Amino acid sequence: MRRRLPVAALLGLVIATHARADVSLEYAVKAAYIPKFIPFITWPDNAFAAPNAPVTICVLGPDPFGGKLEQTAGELKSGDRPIVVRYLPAPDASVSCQVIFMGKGDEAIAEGALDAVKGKPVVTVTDSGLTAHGMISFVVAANHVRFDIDEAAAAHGGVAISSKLLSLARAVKPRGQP
Amino acid sequence: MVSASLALAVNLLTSPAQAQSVNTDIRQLSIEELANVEITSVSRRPEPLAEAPAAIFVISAEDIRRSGAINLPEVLRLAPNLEVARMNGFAYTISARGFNSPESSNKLLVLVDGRSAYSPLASSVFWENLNVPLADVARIEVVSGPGGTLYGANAVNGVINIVTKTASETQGALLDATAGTADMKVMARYGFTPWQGGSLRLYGQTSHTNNTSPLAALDVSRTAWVRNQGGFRLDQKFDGDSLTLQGDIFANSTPAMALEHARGYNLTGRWSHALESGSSLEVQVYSDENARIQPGLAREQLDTQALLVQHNTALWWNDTFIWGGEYRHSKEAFYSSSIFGFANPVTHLDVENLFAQDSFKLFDNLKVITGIKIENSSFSNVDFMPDLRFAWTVTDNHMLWASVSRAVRTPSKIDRELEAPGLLLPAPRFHSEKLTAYELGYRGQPLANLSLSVSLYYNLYDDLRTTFYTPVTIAPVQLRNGITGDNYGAEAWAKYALTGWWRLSLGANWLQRTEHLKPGRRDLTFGQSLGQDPPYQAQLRSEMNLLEDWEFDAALRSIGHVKARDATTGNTKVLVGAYTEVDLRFGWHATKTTEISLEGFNLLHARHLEANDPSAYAPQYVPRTFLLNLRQNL
Repeated sequence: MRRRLPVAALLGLVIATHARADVSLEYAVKAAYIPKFIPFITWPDNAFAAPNAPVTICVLGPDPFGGKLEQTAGELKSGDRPIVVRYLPAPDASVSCQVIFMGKGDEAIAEGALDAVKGKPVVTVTDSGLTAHGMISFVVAANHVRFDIDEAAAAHGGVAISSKLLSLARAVKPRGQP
Repeated sequence: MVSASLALAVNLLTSPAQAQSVNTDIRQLSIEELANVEITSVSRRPEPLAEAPAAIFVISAEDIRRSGAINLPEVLRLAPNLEVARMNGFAYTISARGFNSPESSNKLLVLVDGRSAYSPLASSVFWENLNVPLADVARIEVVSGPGGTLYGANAVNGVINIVTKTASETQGALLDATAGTADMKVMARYGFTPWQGGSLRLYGQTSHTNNTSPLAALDVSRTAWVRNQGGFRLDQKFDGDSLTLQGDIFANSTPAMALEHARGYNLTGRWSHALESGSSLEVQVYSDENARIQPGLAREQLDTQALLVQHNTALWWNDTFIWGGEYRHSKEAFYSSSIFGFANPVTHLDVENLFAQDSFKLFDNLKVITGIKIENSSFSNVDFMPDLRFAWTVTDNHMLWASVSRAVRTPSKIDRELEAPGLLLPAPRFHSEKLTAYELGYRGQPLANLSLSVSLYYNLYDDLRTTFYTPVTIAPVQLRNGITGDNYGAEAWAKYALTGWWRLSLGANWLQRTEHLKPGRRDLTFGQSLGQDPPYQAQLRSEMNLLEDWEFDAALRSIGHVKARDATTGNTKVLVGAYTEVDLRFGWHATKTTEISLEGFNLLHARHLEANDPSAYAPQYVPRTFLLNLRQNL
């Protein structure tokens, strides 16, 4: 099932058994990804209330990251803008979000939220396992967390995603495609 | 298998109880590195990798790309626990913890996907022919210190373990083309899925490296190097089983094949099977045949077939037990036209070994790893290579480790059978060189954005090679085991993430050597087998992600002077001066599939010297070079 890793073997670390997904590790990786997307994304000026307003990551529904997202976000900045995290129990139009994450909770809530921000400069990030896909959708493939990008949806919302980030995506739905 | 990049894995814990450490470490990874984190825990019980008690430096695929290097030895300069010296257009000499020179760098084992690249005929690694396609390398694990218990003989001072990506990780087409002031290289690869559950990649690469300028006016050797290589890797997954078949074929030469040429091929098959009990079995076979020809001087042919079996299981409820064995057969043929040659040009070498290692927790925060390898070679007697290691997890972010182990360098055909009428007698009694090593180390994260590794070692060598008169004659001379050594040193490296877009890496090593002739022994070559080592090496690397699509990287390395005894006069002198060099790289992700980079290597000086041992090749200078690289994914 798995290959030998001699150094790990040297260190007595290898025991290949039935694979078991480690949920905490998966979400630690996802929590590290999200704030790191931000430097590769350009929002129109009207996406922010003020020139120095923070980039707000909103987590819709229950927090699957166990607070880890705030730790990563706190260490990063986007230009002069700090990155902050807000938790929204339900979609809330009064909160200005530049990034919104939709977890694996209720499919209908995710779809509703995607519809609500369609065409707006809000980067939608959907968790793996959801049928609904945001501009960035996480994918768990061969035990690795990867992501797909819907560049068409981003362009529709007036958000520019750098080619570097596109090159790191597993799959990209290019601009101009329905 | 825990195949997260070990740069991460060094501190990666898969235990939820210690999730805090995981997170601080994962937070520092780049997006590229995050994509490589395996999120499946494969330990039968969660196993903190932070407890890995050895001096390991891991070079990730991303590190390789950002180094801008286009050949393996240049990539290995990233490892602070290696000495890398370029000798001329094609030849390099590489070692860990001392003994670096073409003749003496015989204590470092190199594996490519489990296949040994160490020549038992010459006790050496021919780096110019180890042309792994760099874009397909998943990571390179560089272990300094003995690895004999699992790897076997000749892993005395270190092991370099090169792991390539699976075929499923290299799907699609890639064109990687480089042109520069001294080099040209084109690599193309295509990966696809020929059938359900299988993936295949094919690659080809060709490169040319220019001549280097000689130290001595009389040196007219042309050491430019042309390499052509192709290969494939097929990975097939079944339910609970995986099968890999991979191979390479190459032909390399100096211009007009005048000085040297080499050709060869290898084929490896590997089968992993998960057993019902939760343990696993792995079987690997390989065949490796290659020829090196120095026209008018020598021709050697080395054909090796090997079978390895390994069983990963548990002896009781909370340990990890690995045991297995290996059989390796090499046919070594060496035909010489000089006076140095072999009475019997063809030798068969048989190596058999058995090993076992158990890893268990003595206390909750103290892990013990102990094992032994027993190896028999038809060239030496039975050698025992035991190993005992402790890992003490002081807190989640700090780990201390200690080890004591024994390793051997087994005699080669050259040690035992090389002769020259009137000058050198064969040495049938030449036996293994031995090392007992004591190590102490620290690894941890003193700050959230700083990871640090420090290792100290004390190496006691015995029976190192000497050359002296035979008991009954004045000349010829004979190789003997006449030197003991006690060396100690330190290695340290750190990674510091200043911001999300700027990362610094610092690395250094320091080596202090003393060697003594054993009672009644002398050495006519004044310690040539001890190598030529700088007392210190240091490097600083900076990686910046500027704007959104630009990368700017800089590397500074400073190497101390090499002082050694002259092989003929015995006078101690500086053979290679201390030097400091700088490499710079600009990278631009022009589109999501196109990357263009410009690199400058050794920018501070027009040329510098890295090695000065005329025993193999006349010493030549390493030039300043520039490269332009285009990497296009299709």
